[in-house]
Amino acid sequence: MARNYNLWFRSALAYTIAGAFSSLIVGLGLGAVGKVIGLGRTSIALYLVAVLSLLLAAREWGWINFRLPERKLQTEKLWAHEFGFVMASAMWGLHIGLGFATRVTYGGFWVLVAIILALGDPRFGAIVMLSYWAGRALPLWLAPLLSAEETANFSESIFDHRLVFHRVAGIGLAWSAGLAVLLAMSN
Amino acid sequence: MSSAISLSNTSTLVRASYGLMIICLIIGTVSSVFSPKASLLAAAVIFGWSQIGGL
Repeated sequence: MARNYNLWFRSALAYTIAGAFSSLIVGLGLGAVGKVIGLGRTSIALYLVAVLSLLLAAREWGWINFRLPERKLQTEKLWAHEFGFVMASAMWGLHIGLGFATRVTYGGFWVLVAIILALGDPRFGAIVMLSYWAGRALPLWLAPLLSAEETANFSESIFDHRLVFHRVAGIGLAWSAGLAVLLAMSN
Repeated sequence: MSSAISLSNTSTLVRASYGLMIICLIIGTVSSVFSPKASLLAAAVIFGWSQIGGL
């Protein structure tokens, strides 16, 4: 039991740290691109981000329907067999932390990308993507709180409650629209 | 799927999702008074969490 927990803890830690690293790099890169493009010099980009956020919120609530740009790729399960759980967890974290390299189910990721580009601040971009990764890694650390039944039916539970995640994402997107307007007004 | 969810049989996942959203909204609302940028970080956490729904 202690050995299993030790392995889980090391794997979870490797996943979290590796994902944080790749998220940091992505955030820095996006901010640098935004700075070079110079979108932050006007408020128009932020108002466009607000519009994008509202459109994506409407999508989450089922009012409109369109496909999100995404790479239809899941991370490689074979890595666990080839490299062991801890190393595989680090590789999964690196892969998923890139954001662009796997499936993007909800629009929040693209709003964060748009805001980072619009603000053109590499350091803030890194902090935003680190926060995004913190949210992504959080379910892993809460996993020990799940009951045995919930753990056994985890995938089914997520599928059954997918509307909850749509609602949560939609509220976050509507809220982001307001934040983008606030940022535009203070620019 | 039923849209009515009673707290007595709500899964840990659902409670955690709504709980995190409420906490982030409170933190985000308070921090937006001082800095909209700081508030955006709370929204980013929500977006990251909701990605679990894509599994």
